[in-house]
Amino acid sequence: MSFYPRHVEREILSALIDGELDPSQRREVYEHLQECAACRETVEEFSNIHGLVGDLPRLIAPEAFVSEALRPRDPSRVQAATSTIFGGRRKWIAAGMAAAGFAITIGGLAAPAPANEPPVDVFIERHVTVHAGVETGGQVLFAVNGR
Amino acid sequence: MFGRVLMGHSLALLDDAPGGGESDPAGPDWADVVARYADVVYTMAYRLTGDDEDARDLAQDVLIRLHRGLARYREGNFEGWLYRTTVNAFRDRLRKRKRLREDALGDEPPGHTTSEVVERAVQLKELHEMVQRALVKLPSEYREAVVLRDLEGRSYDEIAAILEVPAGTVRSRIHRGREALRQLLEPYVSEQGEIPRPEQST
Repeated sequence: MSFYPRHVEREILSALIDGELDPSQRREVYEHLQECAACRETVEEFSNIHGLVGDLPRLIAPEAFVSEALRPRDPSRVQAATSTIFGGRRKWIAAGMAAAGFAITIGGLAAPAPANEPPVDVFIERHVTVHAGVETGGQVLFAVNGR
Repeated sequence: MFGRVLMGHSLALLDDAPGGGESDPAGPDWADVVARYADVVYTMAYRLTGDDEDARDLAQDVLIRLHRGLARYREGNFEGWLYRTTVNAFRDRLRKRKRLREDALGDEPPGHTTSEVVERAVQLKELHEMVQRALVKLPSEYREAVVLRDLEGRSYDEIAAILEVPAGTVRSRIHRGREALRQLLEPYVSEQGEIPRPEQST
């Protein structure tokens, strides 16, 4: 019997695709999703919205704006202050693969080829961002297969 | 916190920091900061305001604030400070102007073409404009949270620190923002895979 007798709160489903549920809550929601097409559809919708906004391109700042910002103003103080900013930068993971529509695999599961009705773990894999450890992120896919 | 979790495409350009371990012991200067963050700041300004002129003014304001603040800046969470500065500058503008133009984006029809590639690009551009228009229609508090989450790829905890509200409030704002976007972008949200043309919307 699913933990959620009816439907999962929509706010929870929204948090699910952001990978913001704790593991036990996520497990309960997954169980419910296995049984509930309506909640799966909601996850797809939120996932699509997440993708629509996330796919908005990075813009290039206008040239004049950049050159204005670079007009010299007291460079010595700026130099001193910025010297500490980028200390930990090398620890950052490359996120380029996210730009290519990379979806995180949950628990190391391999994704089988999508059928008309993908298993729920495959479904979740497509729509849910999981923070594995502290520094893993996934881009939620816009297109949903099997529909 | 912000240095550890880097998600989505938005900050990929920040990865390769010049001066980090190279032959520049003083680290990057203001020119590096501008080179690195001008596009980030301008993009976020545009996504929040939906208008080039407003975005330039806002981004300019943000850079001035960052420049002033750098003298007092101590080692810590630079991106958090940058986002917070952007949000605060955005809110100051909202207060001054009561509302930013919602229909500022042009509706000019795409030029005629026979190329499918160009056609596709035009559709994509139209889609981006639709999403941008919808974003600007959101209440500003939802818009801030959705942009930081979906575009900038920030976690709820990070957004909570930037907006100085509890993480539960962030979750709620993001959810409400998505519900509003779902209504505004209904044909795009329910359509699977294919990008519908705007005139197909019901």
